[in-house]
Amino acid sequence: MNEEFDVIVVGSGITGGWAAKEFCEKGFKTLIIERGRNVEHRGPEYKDFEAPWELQNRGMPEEELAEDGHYSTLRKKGHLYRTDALHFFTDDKESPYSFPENKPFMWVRGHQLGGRSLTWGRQVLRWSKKDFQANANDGHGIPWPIDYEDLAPWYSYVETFIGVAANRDGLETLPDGEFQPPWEMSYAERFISENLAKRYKDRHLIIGRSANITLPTEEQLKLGRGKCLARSYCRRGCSFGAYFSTQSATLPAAHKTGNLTVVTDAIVERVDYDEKNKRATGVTVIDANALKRRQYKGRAIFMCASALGTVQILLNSKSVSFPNGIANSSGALGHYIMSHFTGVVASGDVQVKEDKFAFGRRPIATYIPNYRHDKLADADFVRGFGFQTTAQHRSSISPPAKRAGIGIEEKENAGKAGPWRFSAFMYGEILPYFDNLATLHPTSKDKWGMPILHIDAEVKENERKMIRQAAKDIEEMLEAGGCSNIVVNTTPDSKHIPLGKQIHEMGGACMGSDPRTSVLNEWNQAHDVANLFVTDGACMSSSATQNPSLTYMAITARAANYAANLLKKGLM
Amino acid sequence: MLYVVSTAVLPTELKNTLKLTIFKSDASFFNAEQMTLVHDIADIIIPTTSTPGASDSHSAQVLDELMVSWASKSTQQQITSFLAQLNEKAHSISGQEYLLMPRENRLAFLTEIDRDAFKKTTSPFLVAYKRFKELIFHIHYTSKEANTNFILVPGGYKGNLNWDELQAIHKRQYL
Repeated sequence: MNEEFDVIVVGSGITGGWAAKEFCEKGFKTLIIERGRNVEHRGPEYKDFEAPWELQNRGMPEEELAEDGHYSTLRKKGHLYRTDALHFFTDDKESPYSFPENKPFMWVRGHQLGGRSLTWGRQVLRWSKKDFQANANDGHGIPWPIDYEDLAPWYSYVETFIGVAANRDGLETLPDGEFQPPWEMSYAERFISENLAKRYKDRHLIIGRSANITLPTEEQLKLGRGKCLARSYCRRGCSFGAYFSTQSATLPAAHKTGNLTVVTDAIVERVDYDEKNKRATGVTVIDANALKRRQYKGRAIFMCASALGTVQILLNSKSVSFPNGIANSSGALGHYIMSHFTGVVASGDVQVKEDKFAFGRRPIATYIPNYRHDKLADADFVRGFGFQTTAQHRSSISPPAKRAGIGIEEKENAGKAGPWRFSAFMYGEILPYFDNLATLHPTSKDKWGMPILHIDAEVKENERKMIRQAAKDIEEMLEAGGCSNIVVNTTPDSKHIPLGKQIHEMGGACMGSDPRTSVLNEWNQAHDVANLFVTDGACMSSSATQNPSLTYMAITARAANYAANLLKKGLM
Repeated sequence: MLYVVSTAVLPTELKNTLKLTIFKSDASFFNAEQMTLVHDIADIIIPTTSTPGASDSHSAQVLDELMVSWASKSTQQQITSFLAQLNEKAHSISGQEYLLMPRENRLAFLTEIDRDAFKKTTSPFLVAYKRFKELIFHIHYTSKEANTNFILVPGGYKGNLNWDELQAIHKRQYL
């Protein structure tokens, strides 16, 4: 097989779907290649209509999976290791990766059509001007070659299509966008938000910005998408198409054009390179089942295989010109691996009258955006952190499953409403460190013959200082917000913080203006190979503190528009 | 050594006195005597009151199914050993097999085990009890019977409701 397309998109997750949609709608014959299996929208793999008692094994994965060493990373994530959506996560026994023994890295993947767009957290937050200027301002990492203004119209473009339920908060550090009606704060969250507003000018508790539709547009209805009905079973797949995913939104839009070809169960082994013309010619894939190799040809290649997946493929794409991986003349490929990290988890009882209740399962939390972009007098670090927070429902007395107590009295108490308890999880910005690195393992290969990825990354002193500050800050904010019984848990300096745990891995093929120090230019185009683009998380030059998917999508749409113009002009 | 009484042959009068539900045939994993034991322990730790208990949510039967579909061999072994040891302990303390103890004595016996189990302990028996208890609680509290207010499709979220408003929503099963 040697098929030829205008554009080849590698990966079908949140950015791959966007790239495919954009090129298809612009009239280009587009191939999307997914390494995992096909997953039908509203198909049998969606478990969103199963009540707790209907889930396989009441939600508990078979014990033998753990005993045989399956899903070792996912098991550490705890709440994701359940039968309601286990099939949407990759078993790292089948697809291994490695890390130094003293620096475990958590690489959570979703090898199926739609990738992690099926299971993502749906918090969609714009970056601000301060975030794009951070590298240039404090000298860490490679300065971004784009600024907020470059991306702002693309944020709007993407938000309009995906549907973002959010409040217009008017914050410079978290710009507003094209919003549908926001989710409601609970009584307790509102109370804290108002108290914080009285105390601080720079710290705000806002409702999260969610890629769950609250007021469907005509375009969304035509794609078969409906309003979110507050089930909060999103990661099981949504039969209403209420949250944005490849399956619910970009793929149907692309299919409608007649220009899309989808190939699943095909693992991209390498980007093929023509030494003479200095162009990528296509990709070589390994059939995931038959293990045979075949090639696809394309005029432009969009890498959307997830940050580390893309780095793995690019590093494995060796040629005479690029003995250390395609588009790697700078030597930066694989470097500056980043991930949001937490080191502080806090909670407190909200001091409000206990006569209010909540109903429904809101699909988004509340949020305290980063308020420490600028180095304040009390800070001994650069960059900052925010908090993912919630007090969505009243707490309740848990049954004594894991403590002493049996019989009538314990049973009668279980489930009784307790106080509103507010929880906060720090999300910190890791600096882009050159030596936080992903490489190909020198000897180990997976069952398909691909060298496995070795990830060597850690938080350093700047992040440890942030954690200490975040612990002080959140305690103060919980007090100011009106909480009692405050508990602040901090990860000690001696304990390794596994990067990747927030499933926000970034970097490895960073953007920059200088081809000597970066992999991609301001259009996400490889400095070295004009028809090769990287628009997933690998392209990020810094991590900021906001959940990154919205920025990936905006960057992808912008790059696709640029590449489409080049294709139309015959420049690729 | 197993002390499980052959419950199937107990006289009806005694069954009533003991307040036992007797399983007469083997289930998928547990035999009849073990099922009787599992059902009784579950019923004592989560009793039926004005709301359903573990027997109403068929926790013993679900555990039996999970032992086949979910449990590893080591867990299967742990649970069956626990059941056998429970009888041994009952016998050594009261001179009676567990199932022949009056219900109030069975409750007192389990209460003591429960209290000891959540102290720092490495006793395999107590560790197994904790595991058994956790499974019964998980099964019961994920059951339809224990989740009468569960609504699969709430229709929306409201975070500032008084009690009457909440009850009205629950009554119509949708926001």
